[in-house]
Amino acid sequence: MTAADEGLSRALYETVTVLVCSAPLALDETRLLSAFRMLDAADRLMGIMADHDDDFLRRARADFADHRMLAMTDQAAFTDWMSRYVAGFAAQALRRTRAEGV
Amino acid sequence: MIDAKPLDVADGMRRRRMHRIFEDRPVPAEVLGRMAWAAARAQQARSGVRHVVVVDDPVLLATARQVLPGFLNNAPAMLALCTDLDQAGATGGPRMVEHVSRLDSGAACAHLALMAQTLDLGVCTVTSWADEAVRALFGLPAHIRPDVTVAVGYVTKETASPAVRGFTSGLHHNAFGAAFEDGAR
Repeated sequence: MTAADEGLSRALYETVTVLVCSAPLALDETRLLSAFRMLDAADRLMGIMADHDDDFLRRARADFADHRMLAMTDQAAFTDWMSRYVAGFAAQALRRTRAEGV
Repeated sequence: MIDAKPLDVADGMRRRRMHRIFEDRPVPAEVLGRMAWAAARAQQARSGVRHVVVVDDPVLLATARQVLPGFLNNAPAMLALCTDLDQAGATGGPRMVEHVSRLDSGAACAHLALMAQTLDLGVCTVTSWADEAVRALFGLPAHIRPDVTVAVGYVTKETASPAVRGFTSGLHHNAFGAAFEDGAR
């Protein structure tokens, strides 16, 4: 295993740990915070993928960084932002799927 | 010798906020000791109920960022405020275990938020985690309950989070629902 592979494996393992340790909070926190935990884990995964020089993911991470605090301060605004965030990912997924010719 | 600044209490309350970005430099043990003292000096209904775990091991902090989902910061140190459930139960009964001891941990957090400002530190109180994760991380025995983890690190105007606006508290006069107007705010 190369050093890069080891680094990737470690980073993925850390994110797996985040997801597992977030699971019990879904029973004790609001649904909105559960959504936040999923987006936080997704952000960590995007961070792992940063080496791939993906402009969409780079902008997505910046978008999340700009809006993540809304989960604590303005839940309605966070929900609105999350809808737009998801729409952006869905549109991007469609573009990528078409580009791949599936 | 710790270089501490004087702090007007009301000014400190006004400036109090949660920090999630910290300077990338360690907090000396003596400064963490001062913070631990501040936590220990907070109200405690019975002796021996509160335990404070001072954490500055980078390995533990890196792991905390994985196993404590709410610990979303780059703090180089942490205080974990805990309750001895056996001691609380023996000296104060179930209400001490489930109610009073948690209030006391909250009071310790308030002390930390004020003391931090005298030391150019910032704090962030974090409770979004499973007790089992904190127990495993710090080797807490079964009768020690983690109540709150407090991120600690140096902050500057550049690293400070903007003040959160729009948080409100109800203020009542003699009866719930009757507005209290004292003209002080």
